[in-house]
Amino acid sequence: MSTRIAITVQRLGELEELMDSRFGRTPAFLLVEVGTRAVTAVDNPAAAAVQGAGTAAAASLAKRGVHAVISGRFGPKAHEALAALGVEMWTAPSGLTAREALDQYLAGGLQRVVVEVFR
Amino acid sequence: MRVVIASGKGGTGKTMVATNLAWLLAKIGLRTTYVDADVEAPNGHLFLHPVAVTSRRFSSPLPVLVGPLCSGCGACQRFCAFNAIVAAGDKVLVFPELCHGCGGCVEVCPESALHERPRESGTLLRGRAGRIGYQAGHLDVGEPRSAPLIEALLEQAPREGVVVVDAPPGTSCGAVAALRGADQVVLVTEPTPFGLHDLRLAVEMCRKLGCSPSVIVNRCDLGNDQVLTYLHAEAIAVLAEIPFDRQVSAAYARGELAATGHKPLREAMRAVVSKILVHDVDVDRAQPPGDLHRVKGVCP
Repeated sequence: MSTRIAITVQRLGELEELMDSRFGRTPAFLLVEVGTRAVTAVDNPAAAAVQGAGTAAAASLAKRGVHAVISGRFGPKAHEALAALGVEMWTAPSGLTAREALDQYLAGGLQRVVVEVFR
Repeated sequence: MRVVIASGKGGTGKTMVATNLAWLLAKIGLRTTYVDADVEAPNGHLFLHPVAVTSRRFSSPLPVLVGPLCSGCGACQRFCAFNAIVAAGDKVLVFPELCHGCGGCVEVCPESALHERPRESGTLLRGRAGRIGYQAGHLDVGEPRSAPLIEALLEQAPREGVVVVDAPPGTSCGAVAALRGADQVVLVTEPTPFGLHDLRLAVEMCRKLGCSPSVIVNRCDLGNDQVLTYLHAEAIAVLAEIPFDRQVSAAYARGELAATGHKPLREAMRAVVSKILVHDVDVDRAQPPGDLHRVKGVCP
């Protein structure tokens, strides 16, 4: 089975889109099949949530079978939810395109967020 | 009769007005209760110095997973409008800061795996400050949601006499909770661009709730006249204009009720009382002043 990763991006599109540094409130995700490099762009259903965007975005990615997500920052509740759902969190510096972030991830150049328990 | 002292901007003088107003209402013989609903930063006690204060903890229901019953179906997560539940395999993560305690997840769980347990988030206090009844809510540090505690606080407020509610600033859920059930809403503002900006938001909030607010302009001799221009254009009554006075500030800083020793402030409060008191107030043993007249304004 192919590994599927998600990248937070500023709008629906291809790998040339700029990353969004926010996890829960990112407008969209690019879902990338690492084996085939096939890209699917999906809206973040939680982008405009009144509250709990992080937890809802985490649940939506888990439902889509995402193995790892690359973003700029993860809030504490998103972090807790992603950890419980078994989705790896990786942080990329701001200003990258999705492709640059993906390449760095595959080359082992990104930082993995260590799992901490916040409560 | 419930009078809610609110504002958009913080630091305009809500607590100064509310505590001095409560003092004057009690002084003229009305049965008066001061309710500190600014539960995130309650400080009315600094001026009223209540005694015989008793407290009880406040809690609201929070779902918890009980036993190995969860099938991981995710019905609870789908139901929750507040994104407070994440179903992760056979576990359920509940985020207490997001939960509104509606109990819906417990109802929809086909395995009856979720139960409600009380979760504490604040303290309700009551005491007396001379002839003034004192009630307050203190939200626990780190709690993001003040509305449930404010609702419980107003639930226990007396139905008789005059209840002066010191509302939280702003226009979010806590302020809305404090406004519910008001007979009179008084917004305290200051004549600055910041004051005007937040006053507009507060007026909009009141109108959405169906109340017609009146306004006290505090530190009225500072800033500019845009607040008065706005109030005039909106046909909003000005109950009092209180000039800046170092003596009032000094008394406030000492934790005193400035109106007790400062005649201009006392007169301003008297003007407010004469404009907000309505005829149907419980005036047991009271000697209401002769110049009271009726001003309507009801917040459902």
